[in-house]
Amino acid sequence: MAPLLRSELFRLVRRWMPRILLLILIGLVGLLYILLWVTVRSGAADEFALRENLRLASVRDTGLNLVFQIGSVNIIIMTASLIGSEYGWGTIRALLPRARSRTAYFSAKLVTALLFVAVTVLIGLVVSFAASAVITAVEGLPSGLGPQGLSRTVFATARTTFVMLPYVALTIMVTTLTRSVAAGIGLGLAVLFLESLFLSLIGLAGGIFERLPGALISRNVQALLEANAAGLEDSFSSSGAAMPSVWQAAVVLAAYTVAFLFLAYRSFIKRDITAGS
Amino acid sequence: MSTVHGRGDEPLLRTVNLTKRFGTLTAVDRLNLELRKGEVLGFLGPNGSGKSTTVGMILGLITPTEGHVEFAGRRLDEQRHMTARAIGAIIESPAFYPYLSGRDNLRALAIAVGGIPNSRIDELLELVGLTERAHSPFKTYSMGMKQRLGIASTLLTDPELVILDEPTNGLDPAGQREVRELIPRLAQQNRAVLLASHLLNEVEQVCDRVAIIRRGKLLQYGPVQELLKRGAYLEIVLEPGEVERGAEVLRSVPAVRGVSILDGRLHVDAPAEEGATINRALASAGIYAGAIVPRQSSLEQVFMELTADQDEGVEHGTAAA
Ligand SMILES: Nc1ncnc2c1ncn2[C@@H]1O[C@H](COP(=O)(O)OP(=O)(O)OP(=O)(O)O)[C@@H](O)[C@H]1O
Ligand SMILES: [Mg+2]
Repeated sequence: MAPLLRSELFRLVRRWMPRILLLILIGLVGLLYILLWVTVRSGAADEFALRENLRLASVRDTGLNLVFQIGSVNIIIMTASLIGSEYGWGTIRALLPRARSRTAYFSAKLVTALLFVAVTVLIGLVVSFAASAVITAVEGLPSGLGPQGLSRTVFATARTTFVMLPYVALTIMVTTLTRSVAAGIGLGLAVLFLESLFLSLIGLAGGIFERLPGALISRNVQALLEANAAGLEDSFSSSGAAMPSVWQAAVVLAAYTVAFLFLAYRSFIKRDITAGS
Repeated sequence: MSTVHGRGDEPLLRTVNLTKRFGTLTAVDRLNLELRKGEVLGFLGPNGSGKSTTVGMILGLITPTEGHVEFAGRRLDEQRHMTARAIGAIIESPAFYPYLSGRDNLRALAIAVGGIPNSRIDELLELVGLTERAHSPFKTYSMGMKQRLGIASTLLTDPELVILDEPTNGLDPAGQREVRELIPRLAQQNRAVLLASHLLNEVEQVCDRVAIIRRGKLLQYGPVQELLKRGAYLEIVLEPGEVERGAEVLRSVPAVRGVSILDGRLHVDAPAEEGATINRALASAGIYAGAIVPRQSSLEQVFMELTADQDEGVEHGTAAA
């Protein structure tokens, strides 16, 4: 797989798409921090809560939440393109015979997508820290970021990366099955944005539907992201709804990730790649 | 199966009853082909006859419904990694990353295989005349440049087998000639070339043998010359009033297999050596031929005849067996 992965990275760093997506992430995270700050300044919002949310210790909550919101969209777009463009351009016909096996090809694609997720989260984290550092300094806030806060930030970063994986896996599956970038992006984003909306509508019905959210993706993602705020006096991400336990959420999300990847792999490994696709 | 293990005799590539069905459609039907080193095999067939499907199965992109492909005596489906280095191929049309330059496209493939120096890439760009535009993005290339880059990519690993699918498509006449001259040279370097094409004169010029398929079935398989001989006939020029009678006379000559009248001339299906016999037969009937000319139909005519919509079984010429 190593040569194929090197080839993937060689091509990835020469594309505009990942650069643009990362620039959008940097710009939006920075912009949202500034907007929050301006809101505090104008006194329109609960000042205590907002200051609590903007200082350095809260990057693990506010910052990573923004990174999840914006980064998920980015990684869905990037992953779909990574997998699907090979069909659109027809390049899979040239590349796959150069692979040692289909497993090697699939693995190289998967690892590339995961590396992009890692880079997205790390860059988002750095931007959040930078924005928060400026605000903390200018406002003269206590940073609140001791050794414990730092280690909590590290765990929160890991959790945030983890909750993105079901979306990466879903996008890989849809794009592999349909061989279409548009389908991968469309379905990935639909699940990302519409699932929680769907759940809140269903939730009104009550009854047997009450247990449904715990079995789907978004509520479990929410549970893990809220865990990022542990130890903070005010949580930016809290929705107030009852959440599954962190371990339960992690297991459900891991199960989705593995299932999506398994289905994608199983289909890819034996699928005919004919001229038209 | 051949028991000879000499390099020249053992086929490099063998398809064994290779079959692919898409639902009810049989795209490739029990295809048996053999290709040896140093040989160029023309692979001809009308649109949709199964050429690309066959190439796809050789490359492992398509799983055969039945049969298999052997490479250097070993089954390719059990040795899938062999294709990475041993075979260089273009299927349908050259496909490259549009945002990468020609050179980077070759590098991306070279990196994927591993162990190919950059000097090899420069050498190939030079070979196909793309050195000047090597740094332009692929999406800015003309059709001919794309084809050249495709040919260069098939040679990256210095493979034993090169598969080209209509390599002169989109090239200007000079470019077509260059590629046509290049193909036999490729085969000389201890290599085999499989050339799928619609351009019959191209196949006629560069191929040693030709396989013609229609609807996935092998129609004709043998040396190009053999095939052309099938299309040999004698053209006889007679006085306008005597054409009908001349045809009548010749039909009773044993060496003549068939007579037809085309544009006021006789087309006689008979071996060229029988010219004298035919002349004598005509003369004894009081008809004097203005000219008797041995003619050959082009591969194109043979191809059109063979692939015309009629059901016909597999015919082997001196097929390599
Ligand atoms: N994925 C597929 N599903 C169904 N039918 C297919 C598929 N791929 C190819 N076919 C059919 O298989 C047959 C052979 O197609 P193929 O592409 O091999 O022909 P070809 O000889 O390469 O034609 P051309 O000269 O036009 O390139 C065609 O009838 C085609 O429609
Ligand atoms: Mg074809």
